Amino acid sequence: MISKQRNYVGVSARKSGMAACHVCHLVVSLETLKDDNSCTRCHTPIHSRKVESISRTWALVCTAVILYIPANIYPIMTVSKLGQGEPNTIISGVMHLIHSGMWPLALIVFVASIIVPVGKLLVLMYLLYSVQNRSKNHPKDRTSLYRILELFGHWSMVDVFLVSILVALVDLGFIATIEPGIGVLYFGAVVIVTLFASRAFDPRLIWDVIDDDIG
Amino acid sequence: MPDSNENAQDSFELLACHECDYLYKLPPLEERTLARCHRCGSVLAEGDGDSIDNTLAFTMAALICFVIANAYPILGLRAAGQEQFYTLFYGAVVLSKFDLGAVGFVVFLTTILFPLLSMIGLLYVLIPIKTGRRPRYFIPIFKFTLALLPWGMIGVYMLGVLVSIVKLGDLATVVPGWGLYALVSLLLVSVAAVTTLNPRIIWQTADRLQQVKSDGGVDSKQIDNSSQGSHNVSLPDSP
Ligand SMILES: [Zn+2]
Ligand SMILES: [Zn+2]
Repeated sequence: MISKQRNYVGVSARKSGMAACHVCHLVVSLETLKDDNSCTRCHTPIHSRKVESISRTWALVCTAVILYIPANIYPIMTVSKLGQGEPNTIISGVMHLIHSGMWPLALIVFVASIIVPVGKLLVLMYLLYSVQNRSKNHPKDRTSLYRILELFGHWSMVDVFLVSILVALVDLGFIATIEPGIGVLYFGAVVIVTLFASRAFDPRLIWDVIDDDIG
Repeated sequence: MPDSNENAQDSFELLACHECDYLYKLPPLEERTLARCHRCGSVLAEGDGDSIDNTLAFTMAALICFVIANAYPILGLRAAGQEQFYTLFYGAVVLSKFDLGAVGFVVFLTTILFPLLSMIGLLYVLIPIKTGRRPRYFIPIFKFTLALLPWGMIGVYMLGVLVSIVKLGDLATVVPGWGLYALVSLLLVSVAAVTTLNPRIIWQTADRLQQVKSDGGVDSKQIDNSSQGSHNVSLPDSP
């Protein structure tokens, strides 16, 4: 049974003087809010858009880009067999998997530790750039890009977990020793900072330009 | 002409898309139906299909798996007739031996503390709601639980376990511990718990319970998702 009743209002919440609480999603009218400007249901401060979204996202993206350099230069761990050490960076870890013929696994690690963090930062920069230039092109695709970003961002943590597992397993050291390297600290920081960066971005900014045209 | 919410019908719920801010008057949704934003395609809301019962059951199962996964070793190495195992907690602690305590702490938070706190938070909120009571401190505890959920990374950790088994394959024999089986089960049930979790329904149920408390009777104007499932409205393709 399909109702003929129109179920959309035809404008954005902001254009109709409303805002959604970002925690409980209750839509409140901004006029009726009391001085404290907080959600009538869950008391979270109400903001029509994330506060300072663009500058905060840029700051976090730049931080992640800078941290990404030492994350790739320094080894994330050093594997020593019989006293001979072999430092592993993120890239050499992937190469090692390829050389051992572990193609599917190499691909997974490559995607999780290189494609995801780099792709995520590039996509965020593109989204920021497009919003700052008031682009009206492909808003739906740009929103989808953002959604994918939020969905896969945390998979890059796999390298950090891998180091912790390997170090713990081999710690008592009767066959080999694995020492974590400072690279894992930088890489972990890249992942966390990037996660915060994508949360700081507000996808509704993509649509604001289009809503401004509607009037 | 945009309608203001005052003359919107009571059975309609006002919702704004959280990705494009488009405003909707959403009719009650049928069980397990998704309402998508016609403009950007993101999920606006999901109809209630016993979501509270399901989330509660999966979360309880997850807590049991969590305890076992932490009590027993995850993986062990067998070499020269010796076996050594590590536990989830040791995996986080060991990094502090190498001056990487910060990384170890993040591992501890994302694989142990945050998953544990979000499970406890969900149980704390859902058990009273299931029995028709609004839990004390509902708002801060439920907010805290929702904020922690994205930071639990058991699934990613499992991928790390898988990669480490392969990587160490040429050094020694890797032996799975009981904790690993519990960890796999934990992953499955916690994915199920998060998938069935419908925060919108929990907020609404908690609102209704508060109403009952303050009015001493059920307010018929409150949105009741279980009884009004017949008006299924498909959202239009274009404005
Ligand atoms: Zn709220
Ligand atoms: Zn939308």
